[in-house]
Amino acid sequence: MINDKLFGIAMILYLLATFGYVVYLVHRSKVTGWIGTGLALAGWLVNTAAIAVRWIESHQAGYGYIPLSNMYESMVFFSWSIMLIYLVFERVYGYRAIGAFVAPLGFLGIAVVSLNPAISAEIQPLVPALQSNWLTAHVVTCFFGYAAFAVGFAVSIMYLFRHRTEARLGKDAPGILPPAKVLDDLAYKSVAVGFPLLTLGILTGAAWANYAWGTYWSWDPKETWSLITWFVYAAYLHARFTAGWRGVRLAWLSVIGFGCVIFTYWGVNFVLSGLHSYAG
Amino acid sequence: MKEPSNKGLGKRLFEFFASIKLSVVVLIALAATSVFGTVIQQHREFAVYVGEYGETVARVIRILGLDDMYHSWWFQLLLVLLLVNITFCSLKRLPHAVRLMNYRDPVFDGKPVAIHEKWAKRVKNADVATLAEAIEGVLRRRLRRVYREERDGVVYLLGTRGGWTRMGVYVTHFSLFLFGIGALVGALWGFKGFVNIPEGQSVRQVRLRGGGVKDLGFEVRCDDFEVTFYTDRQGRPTGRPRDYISDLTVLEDGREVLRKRIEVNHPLIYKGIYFYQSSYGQAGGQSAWLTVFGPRRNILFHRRQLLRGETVDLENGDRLALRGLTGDFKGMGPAVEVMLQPAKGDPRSIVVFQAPEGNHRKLGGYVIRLDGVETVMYTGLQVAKDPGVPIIWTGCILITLGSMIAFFLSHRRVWARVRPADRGGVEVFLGGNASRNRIAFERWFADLCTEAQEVFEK
Ligand code: HEM
Repeated sequence: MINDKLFGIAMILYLLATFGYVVYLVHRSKVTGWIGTGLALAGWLVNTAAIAVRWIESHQAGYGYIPLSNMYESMVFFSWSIMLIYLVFERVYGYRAIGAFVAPLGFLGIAVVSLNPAISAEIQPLVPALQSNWLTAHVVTCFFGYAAFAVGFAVSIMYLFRHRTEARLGKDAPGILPPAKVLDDLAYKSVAVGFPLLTLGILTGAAWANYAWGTYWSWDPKETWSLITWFVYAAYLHARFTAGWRGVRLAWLSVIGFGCVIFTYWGVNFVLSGLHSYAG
Repeated sequence: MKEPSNKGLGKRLFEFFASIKLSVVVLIALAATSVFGTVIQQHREFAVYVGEYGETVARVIRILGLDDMYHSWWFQLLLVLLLVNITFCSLKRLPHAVRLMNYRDPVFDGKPVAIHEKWAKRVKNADVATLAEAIEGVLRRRLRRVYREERDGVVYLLGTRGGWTRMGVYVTHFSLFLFGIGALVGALWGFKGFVNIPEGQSVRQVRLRGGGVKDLGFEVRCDDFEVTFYTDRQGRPTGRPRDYISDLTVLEDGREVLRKRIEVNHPLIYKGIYFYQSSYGQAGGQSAWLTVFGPRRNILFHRRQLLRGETVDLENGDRLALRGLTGDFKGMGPAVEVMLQPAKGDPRSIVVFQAPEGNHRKLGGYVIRLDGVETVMYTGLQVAKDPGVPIIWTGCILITLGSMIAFFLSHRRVWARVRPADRGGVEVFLGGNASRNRIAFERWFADLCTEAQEVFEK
């Protein structure tokens, strides 16, 4: 299969992009910044191609489905979404330094499933329960949401580092990270993008469940955990808008929220059992 | 905090139920307790819990309803509390939000309006009227509505845009309320059940999940059930199921009214009742075709159809009974179990597969060949009706729109005051505020001021 080789190349490009961005953090020259972005973009394009090739290969194998149906496919799509959201953020807000913390997440997404022998990269036929256009809508919205939260998580971590520096040395402290105020704002923006997407993800899941099984909500562990995640981010947005939280406490809430995302996605498959576990 | 005693009980209850503190507590409680239901297995026998956690903990689990946590009284109470909380909180804040939405007073001096962004400028050689006109033009270009008031030679202006976005929050919260109502309607007037229909037969009743049966008021017949398999590149079946398919017919008073081929993910919907393909199985075979040779290789009968349980005479008083049959015996294809009852001696039985030509089984001098079985499959259907679903979907649409409005749009207001300056010339003041996203507003406001500046220079 060609697709997993392409995913391998994308993974390496993300790793190189990480180095590029780290060098940019230290060096701050236009050239290093462009190298980081170039590598990240190249990785993302190869990642895109890999998904397309896998799609074609699934047709050649006689199964013919959009590759979003198991742990391998969803993780490489997760990486793809993280990098997409990040590149859009970079374009819109122009803060390249964030790449040093996000690109490694893109790398990890592919690395975790490519290098783990327990996870099969093989193209498997789709069980009847997953043959639905709802699957595509559901997975795409969920993972775009997760990806935005991942960017928010990376920025929050940066915020926590930067805040420590500023607390010690004052607001104009020299440092390689953007000012805390900017990071705080970007973290919130990521969450504000992620929240409606996660909402849509949960809704498309419910719509699918209703159409396919006659129950829009059955409190299975994955559903419940996605709701818990949703509550945490709802709390985040309320804390910011109504309680006027800023800064450290909010950054930690974003970290906790992303912990919930990871648990919804991985923990439920490996720790708990339920309706969704076939998707692992 | 102690409430002042002059407040009535009703008022205090309202304050309590409308408080943000309550919502924080309830939301955290919901999130935290939800975790239990994902860790503790749900809907199991008491013995399972005893086995896993010991007698005492198992009792606690049962008493607290942790084995069906999301339907336990206390969890439902938390959900109701959340809805009450949101309702009261919205009721409390809505009037103020409406007032802000419709705010149109350009005079801000001495009024409690929060102006976050400020900009002031003294323009020489200008008069109030012309400058006010110019500013009004700028505001009109950048904001939707502009209000003007003149007082003692001072011109006040207010430009506002997106006041309606203040309702986004209320739409969002109201949609949560719809979820509660939709779930209630579903619980009261919906049902969930299941039914197995053998091919060729029809049913009128389904068994309910919680026990009991439900009459559908019409009949559903299964005409055919089929499993299809994936094929490999050479077109050979792989044994991995591709789909489960049932042909269903709805009958009203014995008359066919609807035919539909359903498969996984594509149900039959009739009168608001959904029939989902969920399982299948053998309804037991009805008959098999057998060929039997006698001890002298003479054909006793050829491709004769025997019903399950039927007994036929062979030679010399020996008899053969068809005891059982299946369309698939442990993955090896169709098979029957036949029993020879000899005139003398003990009965003996064997399993005969539908084997390729020439592969016959011997039984007490006879040779038996299975030519085919007629098996009947049944299709297993989940049957559900939930009249709350449209309410739920309305809630879904509203919560999506509402939260988009609430998070991404804001109500922007800019006040302007144009008055003669003490030292000659005209003093222009601009001040603005936004309902959210101050950082973006800051930039936007700076842009607006630049535009104003350019206007003065002309
Ligand atoms: C999980 C359920 C909830 C969700 C998804 C939700 C959603 C939202 C959203 C999207 C906003 C808009 C934020 C903004 O102002 O920009 C908001 C604001 C708000 N929410 Fe909630 N909410 C929930 C529960 C509650 C509860 C239980 C209360 C309790 C009373 C509450 C009180 C408020 C208040 C007071 C605001 C600010 C309104 C304003 O701007 O004047 N929310 N909520």
